[in-house]
Amino acid sequence: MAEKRVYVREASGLVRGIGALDALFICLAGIAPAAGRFLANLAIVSWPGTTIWLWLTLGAIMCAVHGFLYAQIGGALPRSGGDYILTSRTLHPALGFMANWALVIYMSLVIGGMVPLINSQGLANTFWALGLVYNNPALIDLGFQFLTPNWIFIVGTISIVATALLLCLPQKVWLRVFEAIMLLSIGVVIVQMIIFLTTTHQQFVNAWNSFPLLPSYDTVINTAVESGLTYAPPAITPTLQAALLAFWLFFGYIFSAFFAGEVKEYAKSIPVAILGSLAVVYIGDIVVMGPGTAVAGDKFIAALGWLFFVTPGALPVGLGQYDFFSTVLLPNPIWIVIVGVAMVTQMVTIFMAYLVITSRSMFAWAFDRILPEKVAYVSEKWRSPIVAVLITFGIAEIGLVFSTYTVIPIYFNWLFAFCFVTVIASFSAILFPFVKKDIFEKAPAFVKYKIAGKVPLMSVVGAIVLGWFLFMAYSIYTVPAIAGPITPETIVVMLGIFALGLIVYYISRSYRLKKEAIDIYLASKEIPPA
Amino acid sequence: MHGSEKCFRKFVNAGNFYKADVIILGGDITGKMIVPIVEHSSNSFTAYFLGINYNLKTQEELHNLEKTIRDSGYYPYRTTPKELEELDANKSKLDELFSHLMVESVKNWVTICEENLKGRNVKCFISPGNDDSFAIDQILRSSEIIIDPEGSVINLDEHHEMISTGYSNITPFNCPRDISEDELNEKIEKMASQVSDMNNCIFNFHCPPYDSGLDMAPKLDETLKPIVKGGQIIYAPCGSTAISNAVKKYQPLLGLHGHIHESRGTIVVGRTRCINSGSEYTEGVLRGALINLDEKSVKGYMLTSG
Repeated sequence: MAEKRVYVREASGLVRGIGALDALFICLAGIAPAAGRFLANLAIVSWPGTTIWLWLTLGAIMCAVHGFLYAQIGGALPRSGGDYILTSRTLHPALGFMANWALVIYMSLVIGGMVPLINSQGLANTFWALGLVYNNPALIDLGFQFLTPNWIFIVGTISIVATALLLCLPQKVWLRVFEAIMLLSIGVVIVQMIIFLTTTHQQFVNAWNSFPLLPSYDTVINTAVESGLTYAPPAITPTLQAALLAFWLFFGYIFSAFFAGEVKEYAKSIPVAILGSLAVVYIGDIVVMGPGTAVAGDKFIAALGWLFFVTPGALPVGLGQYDFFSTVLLPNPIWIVIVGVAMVTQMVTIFMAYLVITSRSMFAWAFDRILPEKVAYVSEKWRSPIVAVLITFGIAEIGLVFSTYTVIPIYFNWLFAFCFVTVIASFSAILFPFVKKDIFEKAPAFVKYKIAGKVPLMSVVGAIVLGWFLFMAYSIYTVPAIAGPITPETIVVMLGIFALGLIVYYISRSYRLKKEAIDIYLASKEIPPA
Repeated sequence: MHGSEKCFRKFVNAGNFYKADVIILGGDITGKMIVPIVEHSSNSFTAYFLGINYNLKTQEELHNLEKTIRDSGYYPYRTTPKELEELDANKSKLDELFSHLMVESVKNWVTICEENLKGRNVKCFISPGNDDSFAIDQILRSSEIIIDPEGSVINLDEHHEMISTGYSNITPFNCPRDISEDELNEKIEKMASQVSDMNNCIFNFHCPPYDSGLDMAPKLDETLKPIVKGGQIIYAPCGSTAISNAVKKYQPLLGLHGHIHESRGTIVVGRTRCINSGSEYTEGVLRGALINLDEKSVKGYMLTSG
């Protein structure tokens, strides 16, 4: 048995890494859990019979596999972070840039596309709940106002500008805001769990029926059924079909790949961080959505979701129903406002997390001289990536306009495009152990582990993720309920964005060669050792 | 590159690979850890490296592990259980061992350089950094191929001069070449006063300018662990004010820096382009910068991960 011993030179700049718990918290910061709960409504409405706890479990398992692959990518290239460098080094720099370019464009647009969630899950729900408590139809009408295009645009622009300004401030400022949001979200989850666990179904029905401005519990169900709701009791088959939606509930845990270099014994800490953060969010959702579903009744939840999608405006109940249920059961104005604030601010954390990816990508492009160095400009005073923030949120504002006033979002399907970005990354991961053997063999044990001593686990996980995302792309294409319809124009636009990435790369290469005698192709090309 | 032999071999080949006339390694070339490989009476060896317990039975396995350790920037050392006990008990013996291994490693690297660069039209500059023991200086200076530019004004070509120092401001680690800002300023001023054309001069200073964005390192607590708040690692500037003042005062053509592995990037201070190539040595990735100079300006540059 070997002695577990190395000797560290004193007077060397060896820094202790952050531990697994800190790393886990960083991952958690990238997943705004409650913001995605509306997907449960979509799942129940589109696949009647979806069982929430099983649906969540399947989503968490899928994410765990995907997350493990990104843990391996982060472990293999801890300082580089993400899949941009992995693909550039393994396949070709042009392909790495192309995939990353598409990711940044779509991510930035989708920030704008997510803004309506602030209005429906945050603002509208809050004013509806206040209207019910005070028996005030004007407040309920105000809630509906927030669902109109102009209000979505106004609130969205304020949110985007506010987040952009916040992120331009020094790190210590927005960190405080971030910490406060995280603590608030955790507090809300705990209180909601207590509320649902201490309430019976009948108590919920009675509470619901106590509000004169709401149709009765039975009326909601009957109205939905009469307008076409197909209800089915919980079953496995529809749950399996809906499972792809659950993936997006947990998306965000892959940010760990960007800070792996600072993690102590990242061999153990990174997988713990990724899988741990997934587990925390999963448990948080289970303890809220599980009891919440039992208390409200799955048929009732299906009915509410159906009425929201089919006859929007019919009921003062939006998406994010579990938050609304908690305010029905605890009709206290302070609690209602707290829940509303938590919901709105969680979207800010999503925007911030997306900005981490977009800004680091732009920095990498600038360092690789594909884009002008001004893209990587950092404010001297506040050390903030102002240009990257402006670019990201400028595109987000365009996304907001598109999604509010036009049907153009149909042609920019983020989920569909992300599947292909991930296919490219996972293909790189499959090849990495063979193409970059030296780097692979130096990686931590969980990265370079070989099944039966022969088959790299990274390749196997990469193959599973590749297959699964191809299946997800096919499902999105064939089942519009998952991510919206995929039209020929959607595919043309997607291919165009990918192609534009290639064009930008080769134009940059040609320009740099001609003007500066620098070949950007060499940026990440490995030097053979002497 | 902190002792990574793989990175060093890439550095030696970089001139040929990038078609460069000059290759510059600005310091921190020695490793930080010794990995004991313990010989047992059964003629087997055991070692613990990067979280894995090794039980080596053949010479091939032994050589492969030693190569892997060296490529990652550490020093493999074959030893016995008895010697390990002595090293545990005797700090000065351990320090001597470190010194010995560093010197032997650098000697080996000098040989690698001379074997590969002799007869080639590539100038090779290697200077020790703040993390490097003084024991290696004489070895570098004894080479026919390697030029140690520390403290001197060097003519890179007929248009460009270069001044270099691997010293840095005081760090939390009490490194061999940590000095006060005043002392660092003195060293810089002494070299700068000898430069004939500052507009075309290159500052090859291991430490980056203070608060330049090229010197952002994780803020550490008293146990040297990075501080995490709100799910984010906190960074703080830790570069040199003396170097920052010198860049602003003299406005050379180019500033080449390292020291802070996490702060890969480039900025422009007035007319001076400053570059920190960062580091990824444990993975055997040579982070660098490819720079194309014409007579009066930086014609082009690119950060590399080779």
